[in-house]
Amino acid sequence: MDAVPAALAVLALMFVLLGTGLWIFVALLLTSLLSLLFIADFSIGRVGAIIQPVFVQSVTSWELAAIPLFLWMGEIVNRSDISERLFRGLTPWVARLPGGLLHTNVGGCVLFAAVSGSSVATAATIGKVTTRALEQRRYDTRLSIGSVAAAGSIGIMIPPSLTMIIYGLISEVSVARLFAAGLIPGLLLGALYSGYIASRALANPDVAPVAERKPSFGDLLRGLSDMAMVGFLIVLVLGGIYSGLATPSEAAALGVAGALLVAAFSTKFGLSDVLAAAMGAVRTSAMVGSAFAAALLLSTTMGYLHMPQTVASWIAGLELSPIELIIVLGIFYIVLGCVLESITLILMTMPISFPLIVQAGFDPVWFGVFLVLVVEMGLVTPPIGFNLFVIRGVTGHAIGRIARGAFPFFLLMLFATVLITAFPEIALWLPQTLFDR
Amino acid sequence: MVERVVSTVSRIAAYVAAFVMACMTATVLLEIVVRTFFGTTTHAAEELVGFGLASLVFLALAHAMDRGSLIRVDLILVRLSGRLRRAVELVSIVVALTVTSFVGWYVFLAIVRYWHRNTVSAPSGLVPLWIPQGIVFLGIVLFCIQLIVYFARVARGGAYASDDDAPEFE
Repeated sequence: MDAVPAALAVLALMFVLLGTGLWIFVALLLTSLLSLLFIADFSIGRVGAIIQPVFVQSVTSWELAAIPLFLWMGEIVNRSDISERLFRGLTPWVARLPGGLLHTNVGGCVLFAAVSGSSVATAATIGKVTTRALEQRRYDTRLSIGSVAAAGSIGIMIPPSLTMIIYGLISEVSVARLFAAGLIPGLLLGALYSGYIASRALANPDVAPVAERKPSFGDLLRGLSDMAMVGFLIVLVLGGIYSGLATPSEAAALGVAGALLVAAFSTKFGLSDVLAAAMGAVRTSAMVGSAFAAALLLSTTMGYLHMPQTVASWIAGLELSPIELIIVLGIFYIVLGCVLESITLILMTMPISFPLIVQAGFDPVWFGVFLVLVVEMGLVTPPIGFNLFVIRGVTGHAIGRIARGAFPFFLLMLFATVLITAFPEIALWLPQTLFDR
Repeated sequence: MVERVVSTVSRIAAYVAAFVMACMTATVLLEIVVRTFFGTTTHAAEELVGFGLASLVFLALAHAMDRGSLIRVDLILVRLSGRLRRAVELVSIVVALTVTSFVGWYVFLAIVRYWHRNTVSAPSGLVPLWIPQGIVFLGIVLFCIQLIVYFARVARGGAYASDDDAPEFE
């Protein structure tokens, strides 16, 4: 078959198989199998000989081991009383800002993002405490549920980040650099969200009706002590990576140890929680690991079919400028992000889009941050934005209502994407400062 | 009855996976301690943790399927009416079974090959390669059995695998 129709056939096959509701790894595996058998015309024995080593070796990986360990850490922290502590600790610090306690949504998510690699976990952990407390104090519901759904998505921007580990490993970009690149954009997102909340509160005082009492110096100190445990975990995990003393996998193991220590001081945490946390982590790891293995196989398959080169030369024929290319890719990812969850989206598109952006001269570390941003938008857009479902689970509000609440924040994410594209230093300054001396 | 036995076996395999994960954590921590305080390395941490991950992923696969943690794009699926959805689900299971048995067969061939040639892991030479490959194979077999049981359940009109937890991977 000619190169271009073959490439289209593989892509079409992949979409159809995913769309029928096959388990992700089965769909990707079957796409590879059928492509190698019928498009590349390989014998069945040869296909088997290609599949077996790729499939098993892709998950025989020290670097990928960071994923179960970060998941375990997150699950342990989740089961401790950390969300109550964060809310209590942040309260005196944000009480007097315009918008008052609405900022606990943003601040809580930013801090929790630094100990969790998952946006869904971040939104769930922070949302379950803040949304109820804010509702009791008659804060604007729409702003409250919208901001926590959106701020939760910072979970995959601020390291640790499962999405960045997956992106880094599949496209061979340093995960430590990605972890450094995500920090400032994550803080930027937080600042944008808080800025929007404050401006809404100034324009319309009804969104934050209660004038909070002025916190005393003692309240502020007690707040800090409530946040100390999170601070300890952040220093342990990020400190290790940023100082170059620990690889991401090592930082993850330290994180597990630290989380166990913190949980031991928690009022509602027992040994059965450690086991339940571990079981949650291995289930998710099985899902991510099997999808990752199948995706690496798909990437190998596309290599045999010369697909990256074919698509790259086809795109080169369009003579897009780099900025046009990134706009096209951005739109493509935002649209696909509405109907596919992030890991699948990244795994299935990387073999094609990664060579394109490298060819166009974009920094792969920068593209990682760009990708996380556009994927975050998919988390707050219907029909399958997972953060919307999580906040529905926590508050009982309808998906449409939460999505409308999150929409202004969606626009802010779009704005942040424009900002980091115009000023790539926002993402690249920290990794360059830390690692290029 | 059979269903409950298979579910239990899958869960036990996942417990083993959790134990493997704890061992991986310990291995990494040991490596950090040895490097920081004794200025040397265990030489095997990277290899062992790698094998640990492969074992963990495949040992937990069946249980993850059973609990509905293996995600899928169900946007269309959930909108199908009763009979059609059941039919699509059954076809999905057969497809999954075919594809994983195909991979499983070649993993099995690799085990036989490693066994005969006494292939060991590089660079330490500590682990005969048929062992991690065998654990992967075990996980695949368990997954296939879980799929067969699930097929029987769906065919008899039973419940679909559903997720009890929110997804944690995004």
